Amino acid sequence: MKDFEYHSPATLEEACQLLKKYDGQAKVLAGGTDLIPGLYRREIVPEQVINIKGIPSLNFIANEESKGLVLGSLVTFNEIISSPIIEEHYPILKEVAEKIASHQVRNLATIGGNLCNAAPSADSAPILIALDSTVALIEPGGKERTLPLEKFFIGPGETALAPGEILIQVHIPLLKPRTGVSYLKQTSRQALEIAVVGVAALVRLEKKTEKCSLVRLVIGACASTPLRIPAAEKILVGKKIGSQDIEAAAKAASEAVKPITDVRASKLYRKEMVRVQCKRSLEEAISRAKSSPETGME
Amino acid sequence: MMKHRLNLRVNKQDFEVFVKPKTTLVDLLRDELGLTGTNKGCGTGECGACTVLMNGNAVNSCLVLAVEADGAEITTIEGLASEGRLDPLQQAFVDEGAIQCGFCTPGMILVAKDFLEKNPQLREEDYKTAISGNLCRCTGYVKIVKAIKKVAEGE
Ligand SMILES: Cc1cc2nc3c(=O)[nH]c(=O)nc-3n(C[C@H](O)[C@H](O)[C@H](O)COP(=O)(O)OP(=O)(O)OC[C@H]3O[C@@H](n4cnc5c(N)ncnc54)[C@H](O)[C@@H]3O)c2cc1C
Ligand code: FES
Ligand code: FES
Repeated sequence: MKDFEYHSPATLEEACQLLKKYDGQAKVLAGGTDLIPGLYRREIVPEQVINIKGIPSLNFIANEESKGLVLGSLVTFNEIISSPIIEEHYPILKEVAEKIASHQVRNLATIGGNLCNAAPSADSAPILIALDSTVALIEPGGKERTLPLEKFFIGPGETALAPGEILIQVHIPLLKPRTGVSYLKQTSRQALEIAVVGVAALVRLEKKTEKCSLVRLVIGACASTPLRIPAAEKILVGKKIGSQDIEAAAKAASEAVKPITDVRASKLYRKEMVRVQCKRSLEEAISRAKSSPETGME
Repeated sequence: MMKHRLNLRVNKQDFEVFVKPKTTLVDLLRDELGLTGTNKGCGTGECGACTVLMNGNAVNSCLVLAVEADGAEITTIEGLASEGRLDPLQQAFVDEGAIQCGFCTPGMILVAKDFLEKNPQLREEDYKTAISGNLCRCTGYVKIVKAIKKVAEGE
């Protein structure tokens, strides 16, 4: 590891001042589970490292009636797993967190770090996009803005964050009635693996008719960013979905993705697995929508 | 590079040390404090050999900078036995023959300690999940799982 200077601000204001002082050249440190291996392998050689973990205002889980769920960027995956609020209202987030890394890594790894690192395979991204999440960012000058998560990813390791900007919160809207969600992660072994293909699906069905009123299908690890598949969604919306529609949507998804060949899988294999996993994920989301409660905010 | 002063409590003993920012917690424990029970395999979070408890949470000490541990309470394998008695997990590993060369053992025991504390109700497959971030190069997983299960079930 190369030497660097280390700062540990206790407040968001202090962090912003430091980021301003170093004019976008400093690296933010959260859980460190992506950054420290990067430093170790000398893939990243920052002069300044700013540890934001000492900032209490970035570490909370809140369920707000109007906004839905708000997660501070420092919430770790194990905190998601053990949160009673999440277990009750957003069990899918617990399900996804359990598919990530190992117990030790989940004690460190934060949701903000997973998104800002912007690996195409990041497991929290597809499901959060399917849930229509937004992220709140703060620039070194202290100005805040929000952005749909779908617009946050630009390429591998590249996000809409301006130099020195910090991700402070993730907002997840309330889950409406008769809505089902699913995330399937395909890996070459059962644990401690990066996704070969990740598929998140959200399906909403109309009352009585059970016609599909909304679908979001998002695929991870098969393009330079997590990818939403409008072509597949279009096939399903407005229909009482049958197995042929699911097949057609899965095929459309398989045609829309642009995977690469790497150590984990070939391009062709990934395309075929997108078809298979989309089918399974849509089926799971539909069956969950059918059994989801009728009551709740419309 | 300027060294930082940090105060931390390791195995119930207070330490004041001076470290460079790039020093990882595992290197501090092994090279400065001489606590070589914590092992370093990969250095990048994959093998679990460096697992310690930091403020009660099992973490890979190769993924934590020593400076991040300022004010923290750390438990390594050396600190697990109390008053000359092994921790129940340590005893179970011995009794079940879950140790071969022993390189992975401290990490296995410490992750199991935290996992069992956080997950009181366990299904059969959870015992494997608990150690999914720990590699055993001697591949003695069956006995390791058996030892952890024994403690979880209070035998
Ligand atoms: C063994 C191992 C297994 C893993 N398995 C998985 C897996 O199964 N699935 C998966 O998705 N990932 C996995 N990861 C990757 C990693 O654990 C996650 O991406 C994690 O969520 C990163 O969060 P962090 O807090 O550790 O980020 P850090 O390493 O602290 O930061 C990551 C990047 O984001 C930036 N950053 C962090 N927080 C902010 C913020 N609030 N604002 C602006 N920038 C910020 C940092 O500057 C850095 O560039 C694994 C990693 C390891 C070591
Ligand atoms: S040395 Fe830390 S996980 Fe391998
Ligand atoms: S006992 Fe040798 S590495 Fe596990």
